[in-house]
Amino acid sequence: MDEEADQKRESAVAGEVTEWLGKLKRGEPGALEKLVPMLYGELRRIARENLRRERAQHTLRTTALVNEAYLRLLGGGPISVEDRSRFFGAVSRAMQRVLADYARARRRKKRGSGQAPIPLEEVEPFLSEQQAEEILALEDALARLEKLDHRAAKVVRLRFFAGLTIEEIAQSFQLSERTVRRDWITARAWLRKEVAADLGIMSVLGPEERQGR
Amino acid sequence: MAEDPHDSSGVGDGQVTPSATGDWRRLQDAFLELIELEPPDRPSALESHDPALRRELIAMLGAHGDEGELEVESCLLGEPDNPFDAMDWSIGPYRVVQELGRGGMGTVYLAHRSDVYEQEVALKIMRWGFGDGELEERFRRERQILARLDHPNIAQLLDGGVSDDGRLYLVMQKVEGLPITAYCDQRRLDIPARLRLFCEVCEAVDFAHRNLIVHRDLKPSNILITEIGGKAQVKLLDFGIAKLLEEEPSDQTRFEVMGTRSEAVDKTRSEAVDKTRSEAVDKTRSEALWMTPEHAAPEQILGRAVTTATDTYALGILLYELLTGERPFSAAGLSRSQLEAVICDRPPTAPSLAVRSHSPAEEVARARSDSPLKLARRLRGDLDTIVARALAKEPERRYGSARGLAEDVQRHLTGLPVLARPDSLPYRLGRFVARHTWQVAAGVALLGLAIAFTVTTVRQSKALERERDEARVERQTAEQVADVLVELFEQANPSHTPDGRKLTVDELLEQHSDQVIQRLEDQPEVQSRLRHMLGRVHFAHSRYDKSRELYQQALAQRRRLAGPDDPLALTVEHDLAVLARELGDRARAEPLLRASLEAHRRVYGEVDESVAQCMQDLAAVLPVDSPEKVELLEAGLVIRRELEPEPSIQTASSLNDLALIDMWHRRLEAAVDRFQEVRAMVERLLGPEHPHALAVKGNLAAALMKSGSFVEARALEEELLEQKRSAYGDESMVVVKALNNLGNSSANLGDWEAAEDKLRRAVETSRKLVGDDHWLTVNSARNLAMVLELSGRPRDALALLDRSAAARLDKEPTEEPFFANQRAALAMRLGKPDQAVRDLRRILDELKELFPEGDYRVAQTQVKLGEALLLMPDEADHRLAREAAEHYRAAYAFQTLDPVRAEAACGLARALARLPEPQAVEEARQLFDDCLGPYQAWGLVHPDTRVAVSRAAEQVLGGADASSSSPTRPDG
Repeated sequence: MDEEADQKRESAVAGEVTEWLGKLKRGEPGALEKLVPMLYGELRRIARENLRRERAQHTLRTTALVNEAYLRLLGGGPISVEDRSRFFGAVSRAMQRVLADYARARRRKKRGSGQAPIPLEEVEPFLSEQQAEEILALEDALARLEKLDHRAAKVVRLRFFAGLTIEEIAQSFQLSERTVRRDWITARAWLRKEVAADLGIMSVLGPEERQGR
Repeated sequence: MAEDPHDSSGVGDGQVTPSATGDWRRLQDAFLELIELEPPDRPSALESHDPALRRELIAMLGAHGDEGELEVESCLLGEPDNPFDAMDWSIGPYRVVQELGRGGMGTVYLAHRSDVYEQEVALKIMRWGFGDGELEERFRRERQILARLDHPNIAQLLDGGVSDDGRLYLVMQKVEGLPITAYCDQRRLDIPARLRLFCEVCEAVDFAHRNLIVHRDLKPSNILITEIGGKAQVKLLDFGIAKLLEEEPSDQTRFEVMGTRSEAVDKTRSEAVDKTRSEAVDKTRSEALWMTPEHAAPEQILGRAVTTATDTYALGILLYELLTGERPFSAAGLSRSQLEAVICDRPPTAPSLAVRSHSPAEEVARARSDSPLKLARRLRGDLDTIVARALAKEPERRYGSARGLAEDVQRHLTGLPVLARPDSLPYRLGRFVARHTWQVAAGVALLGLAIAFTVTTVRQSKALERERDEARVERQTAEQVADVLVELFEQANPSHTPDGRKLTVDELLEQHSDQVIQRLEDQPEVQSRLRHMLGRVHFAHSRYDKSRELYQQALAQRRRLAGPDDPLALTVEHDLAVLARELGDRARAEPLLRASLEAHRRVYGEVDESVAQCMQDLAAVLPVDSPEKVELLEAGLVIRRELEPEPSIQTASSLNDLALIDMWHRRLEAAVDRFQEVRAMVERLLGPEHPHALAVKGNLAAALMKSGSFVEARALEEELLEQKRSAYGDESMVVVKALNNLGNSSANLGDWEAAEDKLRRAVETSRKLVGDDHWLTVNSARNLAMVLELSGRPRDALALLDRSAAARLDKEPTEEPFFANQRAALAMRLGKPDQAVRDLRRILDELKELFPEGDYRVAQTQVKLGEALLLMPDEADHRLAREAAEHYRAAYAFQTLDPVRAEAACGLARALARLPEPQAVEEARQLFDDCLGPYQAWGLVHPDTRVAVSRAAEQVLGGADASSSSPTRPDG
């Protein structure tokens, strides 16, 4: 890979992100729609890069984008990525929060009846209505899962919101792949079940006798 | 948007209570163990867990597969990782040039073979390797068998293997083309052209079958059409590949085998994305268990043997889609398990109906160079039948081979009669009943409907053997009616309602039955039958006016069509009589039922099941102490025993009725014996867990209770509760009913504490499941209120009752009298008899409007009113006592239900005892001797009665003493 081109692209994206973050702050319509996918894609790419370079015994650079984005996203100083697990933990939580905020915004917009429609749909919504509802249900379910099993919840977060693979999670957290996979499979099924129940996608199991008179 | 500062991210170091983590581990271990098992082994493995965990596991299993996937997941996980992202790498002798497409678990590349000769191939790489030498070896072996499959319409498997880093790859002939469905739509091929292409597909599949290779995953994306020299040619991809992969562990080894659609890939990205989304359901799974349900055959879902018949089924799905533009079973709005249930149980909508009812009818028809109506007509008949045969649930009912299917399609194309026959009526009704068991259980008459209908059909065709043609017409119309009915019930499918909710039977009837009947205006034969059947369904759902209207219309229509002795006219007349009986109109019902019995005797002869049924129905309207009632039941029993080699469920039901009479006559030993006999019969016929078996057991419990075997009776009720609990889980209305019954038994035993506990649980569960306003909640709440009242807590009872009334009366204002009735009783206990009298007088007037005299609801109110009147200070002329006597006398004269009648007798005796006239006191004493004595000797367990009996005994004897006539003090 051409590092110079990489850096160029990154700073271009970083510039764009900064610009849209500004617009978001000013309450400009469509900013969130624009930002979320941009940040999401970038964060995941960075996360991936991080690992790849690590594997290739490179030191991870804190890119301009990471600085820009995280300064705002996390409301703190530049992130130290020496602690890789901490870095990914932060990424996954931040992304979850971004997505949930986004989903709530969508929901508000949808329920904001009576008002003139906000003209932000020039941009294809990042999440469909269903997906937005799922994100919110998932947020609740994850909170419950966290109480049941912290590690399983973490694995799901890393997988869903930092885009790490099973293998990558295992590496970054010094766990066996088997353990991570077991957590992932169980937690995923559990969460799907919870989300489905929450959204009223009822299963036909346990047919209840219908009462008639 | 601040990061959680405490998230130090050492995974696993969270603050979790040990018990929660323990639960999670238990769940995890159990779940992972389960998904390793073959589906048929799972139920027994599930058995070993407690019900709560079991329910959780079942729900998780349902969510585990692809169909459980949340929409947002694809968005979160995005394009899967692929180490082969960068081009320009080689695997074996193949150099990868370009990515052609990718799916969930695999990617297809365009590759060159460059070592020996230049050849363009499609290279498919699975994300996950086997990591298992034995499977790799097996894979190599199977692959060689497949490589020998040489047919012009089958894309050849050229090579395959395991790369150095353990990834599995396959090399196939590169095919450029469109999926068959897309091709047909794009070219706007008409139905015959589509059918000809379809036949080519069948021939290729048949060739493979004759080489003992099953595809297992036929679907449009695996069936491409290429154009060679302007001529369309079918190319099947991925033959046998599903099998190659079948033994891999489930979760990590799904393999998406994509069509090598270079055209599609060249199109715009967004279109490709749309495509991916719409074809997300096209994902292939290597294991039957993880098959995409929309394409899966029932045997794949059930984990049964996959054979060539499975491919035949898939061809049926393809044919369906080619004809209608839709798949017969759509995942839309259904959970995976729902979809699976639908596939295993429900016949697909006939293609001719599907093209009319599905949304873009115009568009579908246009793609077939037709108008919607013409298209529907073209599909009706042969093609409907062919599709139904190919899509039969049971493999053995399908075409014997893919060629057989092709040949039938050919026959249709050349105008020859097709060989496939529609399913027989008994078969379809059987399936219908099997499919709707729970709905049927809701309205027992619905079950009766299907069964009675089958019986009628058989019986009628026997009776009319001499007129074969007529019999055939009957059968055909019967089949049509069944179709319409089945169609009507299919509308309950959530995918047919705008909000995806399941229609209730009531809504369904309300919304669709008139319209369905209307549609049959030009077919009076079918229309009259349907009216009758819908009449029965409405009846089962307590919509009596509608039911009567339909019966009457059907009857008039039948008489016009076929005269008064038409068998169906007889049945309708009988149903009208039963309706009158159910409405409590005995005076009207009895002569009607007698007439019906006579008519059935005349038409069917003395020894016929229908005659036995008529006898049973007439018996049901007769008073319980009528000797004729017993005679009729016994005569019916004789007929049934004569006709049946083994006792049937009808015989059991006759015996059950007789036992109930025994119970009423307090021949309790006989009743207990008979119930035990019935119980044995029903358990043998239907199994001990069948609802009927549980009902008989309930009767037995009641008989035991009355015969004083309290402990035994309660043990049975408790057993019943446990049976229902384990069958339905704690949170089910069946269990609510069992709790209610057990609560009532406890109340009858005077065990207030247990009664309160059970009834309270019934009320709480019922509230949670069906809401405060449901009649069952109200029922248990009223029972609980009664227990509270009797155990000396009238205020609590009143509060409970008020809550119930508030919830219920919004929905059912006509039930106000029942609440008021019970409230009045409480008012008496709280020392406000005047209020009770006022309310009860009003209620009584209202009830008399609603029900005939002698109805137990009227009688109950009369008894209560009498009691309240007796609590008031009387006038000098004993006006109130006289009024009370009048009410009691009315209740006593008409009522046959024992506790109420006993109360009426007690009350009457008490009222008369207050009057100054000597003849009144004499009558009171007479009543006591004639009636109260025996009632008391019976040891009536109803607490109300017991209280009333002792109070009356006191007062009557006191009154008699006061009038200084010689007292005869009865025992007890």
